Amino acid sequence: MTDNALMEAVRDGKVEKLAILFERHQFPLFNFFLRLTGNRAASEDLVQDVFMRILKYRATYQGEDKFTVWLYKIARNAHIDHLRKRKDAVALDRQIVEPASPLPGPADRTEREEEAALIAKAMAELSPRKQEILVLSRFQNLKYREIADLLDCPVGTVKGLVHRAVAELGEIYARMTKETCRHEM
Amino acid sequence: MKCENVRDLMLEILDGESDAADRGLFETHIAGCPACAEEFRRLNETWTRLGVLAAERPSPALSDRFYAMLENEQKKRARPSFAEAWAALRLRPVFRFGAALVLILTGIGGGFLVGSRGAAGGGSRIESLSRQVQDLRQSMAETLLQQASSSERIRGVNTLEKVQAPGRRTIDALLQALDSDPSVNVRMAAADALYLFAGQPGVKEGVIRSLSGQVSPSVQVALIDLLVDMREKRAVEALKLLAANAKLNPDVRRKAELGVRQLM
Repeated sequence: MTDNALMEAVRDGKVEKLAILFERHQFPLFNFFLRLTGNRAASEDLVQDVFMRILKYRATYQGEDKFTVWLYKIARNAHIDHLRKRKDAVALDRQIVEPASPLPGPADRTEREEEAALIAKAMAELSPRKQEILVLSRFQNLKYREIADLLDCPVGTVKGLVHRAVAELGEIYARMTKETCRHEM
Repeated sequence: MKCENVRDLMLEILDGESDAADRGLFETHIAGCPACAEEFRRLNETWTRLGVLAAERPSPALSDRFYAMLENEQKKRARPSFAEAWAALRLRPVFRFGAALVLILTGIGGGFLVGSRGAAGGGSRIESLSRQVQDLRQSMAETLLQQASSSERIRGVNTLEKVQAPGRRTIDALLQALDSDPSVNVRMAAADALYLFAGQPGVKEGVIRSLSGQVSPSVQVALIDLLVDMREKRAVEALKLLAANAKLNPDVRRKAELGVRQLM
């Protein structure tokens, strides 16, 4: 059964079908939030919030959009509300992303772990909009057309933003690598 | 092809969204344009580097919270909605006092009647919806138990643990995991889950039967503990056999001897 058909069934009263959608989307959604917040507990809360909103607003599902586009619209709103609610919220572009799972100290880290920590830190320096669009295009398996529907802007704008985000990320990463080398010398 | 068109194509190439014709034009262009070739090389490097950010798994608590929410929602939906009936009643136009009084009295009386019928029907709806969630949980667990990764299969066992009022299907799936799963950890998880269902028909017999086929000392010890905890006296003979088997791990034999004494 497709996601759209399942969501239509949920809308029409078969709420138990939401369990299938949850099983299909909980991991990608969790990782979407994790890459934006860097916080596991907050990311789990946000996934739960998304599915609560789906139940609450199920009657508004039209079935015209691809389900994932609708899902990520809800996910974005949940994330925006989450940031607003946090009184001590730090702007995303100034947040230092914690490693999602506890990483060993620098001396014990493998090269790959070092690289992952550094690229996560570099991503956190991007503006929230670039960070979000990069996560959507690189990790969430959404096509540019779908991201454009999601963000309600032309496809060309999406591609331009992703292009600039990747280029900027490359520059930040190169700078951070140089700084790390200097500290180690 | 112009440089600006090539720039638009770069991401599609990286993402695998481009078609063969575009890829051909792109490759021809960058072969003769060092600036675009360099820009693509840099983008490609960063895009590939992002792959080191591995996907993480949420904790099992997320799943528990979701299913609790879903069951609550189903119960809520099954309840008679007196509030809705009352709200509807308040919206009715009342032009004549008598008619209004009759309407209200009829409405309240009818509401109670509908309410009591709804409550009776609601109970069976809750049961039916709850059964559907349980069935779904069962199917999901069975799918997980077929996965190649042992952590997925452990999740399958943990999901089966949460099935309320397990039937033959749940017990058989757990016994099969206990008997034949290649991973010791999955077999241990299945043993733990079966402890919760010790009162169900076939569980104790299944565990005794499985004990004789196990080769891992840690699983053997876990099953001996399980049978002792279940106070299953029919296991005494099987434990005696283990205790007398000189080829077995000495710890397992000692545990079996102790088990015999505890059950006698």
